Amino acid sequence: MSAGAAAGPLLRVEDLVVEYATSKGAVRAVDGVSFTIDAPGEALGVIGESGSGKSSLANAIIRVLPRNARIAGGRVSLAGRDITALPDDVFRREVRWKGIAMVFQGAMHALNPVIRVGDQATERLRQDGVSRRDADARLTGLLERVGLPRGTGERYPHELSGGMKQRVMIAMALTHDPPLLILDEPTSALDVSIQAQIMNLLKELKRERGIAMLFITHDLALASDLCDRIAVVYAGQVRELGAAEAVLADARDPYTERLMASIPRLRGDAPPGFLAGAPPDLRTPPTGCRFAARCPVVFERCVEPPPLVEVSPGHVARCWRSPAGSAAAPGSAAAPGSAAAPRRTRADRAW
Amino acid sequence: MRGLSRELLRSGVGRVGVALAAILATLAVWVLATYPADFGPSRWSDPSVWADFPKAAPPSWTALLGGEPAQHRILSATEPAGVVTRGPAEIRTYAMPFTYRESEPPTFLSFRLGEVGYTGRPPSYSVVLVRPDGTEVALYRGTVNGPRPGEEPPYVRNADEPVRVLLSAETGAAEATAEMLAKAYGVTVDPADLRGRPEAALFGVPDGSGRFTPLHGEYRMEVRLAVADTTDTVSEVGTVVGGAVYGLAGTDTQGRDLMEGLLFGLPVALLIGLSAAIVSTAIGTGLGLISGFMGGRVDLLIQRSADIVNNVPLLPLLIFMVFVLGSQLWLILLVLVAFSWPGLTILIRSMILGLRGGQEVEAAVALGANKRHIIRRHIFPHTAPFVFTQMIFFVPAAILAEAGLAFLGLGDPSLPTWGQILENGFRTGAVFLGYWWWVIAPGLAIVVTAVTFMLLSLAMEPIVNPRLRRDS
Amino acid sequence: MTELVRLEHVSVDFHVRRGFFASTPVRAVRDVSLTLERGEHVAIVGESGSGKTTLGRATLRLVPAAAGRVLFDGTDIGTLKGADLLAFRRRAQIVFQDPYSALSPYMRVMDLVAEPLIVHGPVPRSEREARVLAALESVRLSPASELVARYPHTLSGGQRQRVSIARAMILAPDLLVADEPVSMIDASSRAEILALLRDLQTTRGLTMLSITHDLASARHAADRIAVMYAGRVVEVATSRSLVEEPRHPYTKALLAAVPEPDAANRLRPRPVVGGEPPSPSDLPSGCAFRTRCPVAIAGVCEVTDPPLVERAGGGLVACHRELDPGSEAAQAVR
Repeated sequence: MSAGAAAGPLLRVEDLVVEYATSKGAVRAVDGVSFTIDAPGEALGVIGESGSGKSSLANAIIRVLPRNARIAGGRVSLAGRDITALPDDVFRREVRWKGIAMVFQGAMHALNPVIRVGDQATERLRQDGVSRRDADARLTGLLERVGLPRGTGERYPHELSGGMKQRVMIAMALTHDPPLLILDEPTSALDVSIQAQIMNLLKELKRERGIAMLFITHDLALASDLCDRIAVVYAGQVRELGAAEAVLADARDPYTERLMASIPRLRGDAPPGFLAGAPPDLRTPPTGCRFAARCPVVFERCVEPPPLVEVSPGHVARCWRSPAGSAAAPGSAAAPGSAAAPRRTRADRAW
Repeated sequence: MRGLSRELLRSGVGRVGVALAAILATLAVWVLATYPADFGPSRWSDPSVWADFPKAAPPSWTALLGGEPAQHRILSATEPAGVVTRGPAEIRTYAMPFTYRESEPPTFLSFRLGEVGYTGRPPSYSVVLVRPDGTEVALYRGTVNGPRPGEEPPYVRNADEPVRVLLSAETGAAEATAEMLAKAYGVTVDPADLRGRPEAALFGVPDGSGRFTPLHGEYRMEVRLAVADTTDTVSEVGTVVGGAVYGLAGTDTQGRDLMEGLLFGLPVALLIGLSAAIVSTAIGTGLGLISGFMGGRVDLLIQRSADIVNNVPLLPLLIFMVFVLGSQLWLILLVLVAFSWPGLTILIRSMILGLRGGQEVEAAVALGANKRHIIRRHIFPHTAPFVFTQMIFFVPAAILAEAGLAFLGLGDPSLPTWGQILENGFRTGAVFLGYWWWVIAPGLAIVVTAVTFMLLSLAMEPIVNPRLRRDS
Repeated sequence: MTELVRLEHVSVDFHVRRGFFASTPVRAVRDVSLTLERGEHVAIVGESGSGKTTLGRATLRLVPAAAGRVLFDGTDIGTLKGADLLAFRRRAQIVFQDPYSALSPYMRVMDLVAEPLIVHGPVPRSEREARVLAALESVRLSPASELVARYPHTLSGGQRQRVSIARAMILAPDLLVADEPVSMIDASSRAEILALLRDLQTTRGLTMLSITHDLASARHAADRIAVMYAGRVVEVATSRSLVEEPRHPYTKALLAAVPEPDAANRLRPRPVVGGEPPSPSDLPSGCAFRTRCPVAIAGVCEVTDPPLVERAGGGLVACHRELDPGSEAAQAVR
């Protein structure tokens, strides 16, 4: 599938619901998430802590959910084509790796230690009938493009460092020239200087090949290094979505604001804030706003679950307070360390 | 341990395993309580115990599958039913009634005379079968052995062993049967034809074509004993109306009730399995711990020994040892244990090396814990479930090893283990002769016991595999 | 003495097996000297192969020093035996990186946190329980009475790490080594744990040595930062001075690699140094950073390893470019 000038967005996710069947009941890890990735070459960041549903979201799109999970609602469309309705074999043949490729978390550990790296990376190509010579040539080009020295394809995984292995995984994802690449915490196990190298590589690939990216991470600062738009998810729902400039500089959702405040800054003396408590148990999700228990500005209306509202063009947030004004300045909210804050009102004009 | 039992009962496999194990354990305890300790020599290997049993008889429940095979009856009488006195002499009539309703005739008839004491002339007796049609057949006449030169009264005969007469084989019985047939039914039969198998005629009426239809009804075996002196004593007379089937597991060619042998084999098998497993596990774990902790030359020595021992072919060695030292159970167990510890040693050692390099132990060292504390609280709990599971898994291996050895003829012949019974069967050609019960029953017993332990260790696998464990 | 810990020319080896019997030593830490004042928090920052983790362990004698010595409160810990060693361990504790593997899955929280009391005991049971509850409260794990009966695998990563901290702190040590205490914890929970450690440090006058790859967190948590590369300290200074005026090219590279949440980041490549940190068994000659250094001096940097010298703004730095041209060290290089 080539990424032509599509009329609509490249990827459209509508009200996606992913449910896990556990021994203690059904859990909705993703509960009605919607977003789009519009132009080719656009990167959307999905930010969330563990348990927020961000990985389930990615796994659902590319259909690698574990056996006890399923898409229980909503739809995913790629270049206008509904891919959630496709039967498994069609999806595998036409969409997976050709339409959407993925670099998983800890992908370096997914390499088979007894098979040469090049053979593993060209596996899908050869399955599709490409001759060995063509496949190897293609891979060599890709390996060079991702910055690996010549002959890397001949090596075994244990001969490569973590950063090199991750580059191999990226090359592997590009073998079919997909228009969309999903990356789930691709740099979490790497040294910070290697992380910067990989992010630079992703930036280049985005620019020169026009690959759209869905970048999943818990690190807002890292997301800003690549993403044009950012979605913040919490407890299976989108809490804020908008252009990177808007979300980072003018967060309208208290969770996003708290996340920003907890990033330690190199420059300046202000220590990072933090967010006490833990996300709600999704086996029995709260009936009102899911962030209410930890929110520094919770008030009476929060017993009603807030919808996503547009706070400015292209920027939505899920908070009863958000249309009223901009986010509070960092550090102005609740005292750090208050777990499960009791409900209280704030007549603060900052909110 | 609590975790262990919870885990066991969690799965279907575990529940089945536990149920089977409970049944086996209960049976074993019952056997130990009721059977004599020297069952082997005192009962199993004593032919006099089984003299009255049918030989190579299939189990009695096979009757349900079709046909009405003759039942096996062992009858006896200790008091005469009637006594007729003639002066100092007496004629004592012993009666042993039975009902015959099967469609197959009995397989044999035998007569048994217990301890006899007399002072003057030896008693004489006749054995008569009284049929429901009123006819009688005098199958046998005999006299107790007379006094030997130099012997003084009172004379005692058959004190150790009763006298047994196989009536079916007696020429006199055949002739008497032919006589009865001629007199009562006007049918002429050559006694030579009847000799060896008079039962069809004795228990039937001729149908005109040379065959006999079964005569059902009340029969009575009478023993008329004439004693010269009323003080003469007879302890017991008996008769066996041989059946074609017997018991729950049938009999072997020596008439031994296989069920008894099988039941006795259960605690023996469990004992062999558990003792070999426990001792072998203890040695293997101990050496593995030492090897893992001491390191250096001790470690090297133990590991290389383990490698060597592991590669010794066990069976040829066992054959050789049995040949030289004789086949005794303790020897077999010793050899089994001596050659099965290496596997566990190697495994435990590598577990320990892994743990020692791990963060849990490092954290404990940082706390200041000494070696003993670390072993007790940070090494042992990780290895214990594994060791326990391995031990359970070793039990069937030991049972099978012993059974295999016995089957090859290397077992302890005085001890009726399942392997021994199998070996007897094969040696006697049970397979060719069609004595399927002799082979299937012990084989099944071995399999069921082995499977029980395997199910238990399978159910305990989540304990050994921490990844399965974390999801509770 | 205000100094609690002094590392003097400490080198640490680990052994790599070569062939069937032989093994060669590989030097993970090379000639590191560092002091910790009482109540001070020093962070050691580095990437893979820097030796920072090994150094942390050497400070507690969890690995032996192949050369040099570690002084704790004036005493060489390498010579301690028996009761003295036990006393040292009581005063110097460590929190590990992985909250999953440091805690025994067979012990409940109560047993885990009480273990130091038992090892250094005897402490009667009632007192043990009270102290465990107090320790759990101090790391803000509540309700403590409910948590003590739980097994670690039922707790979250952040909760487990707090249990580890409680366990390390229950004996009120003088020194706490924190080996990447939050790297395996969710980003959103990290700040809380770091704030907790900071509180414990200030309220109890704890001396802390933390090991991390996260410069940004170190900047706020620690008083001084020492940057390590390939087994050596390449720069050490107060946090502010190091972050705002880095002198060593590697420090500069590390700082440049840390993303700040700025939407403009995506529009420009991040300045990085190419290549990867070297493996300790295969180090470049002279300065180990020279193969990646943007300002390496040919003829100088591959010849000698630069010594640590005084640095503008206080502290030390090991770089040929920082050598005062008139100083003896610079003359020696030429």
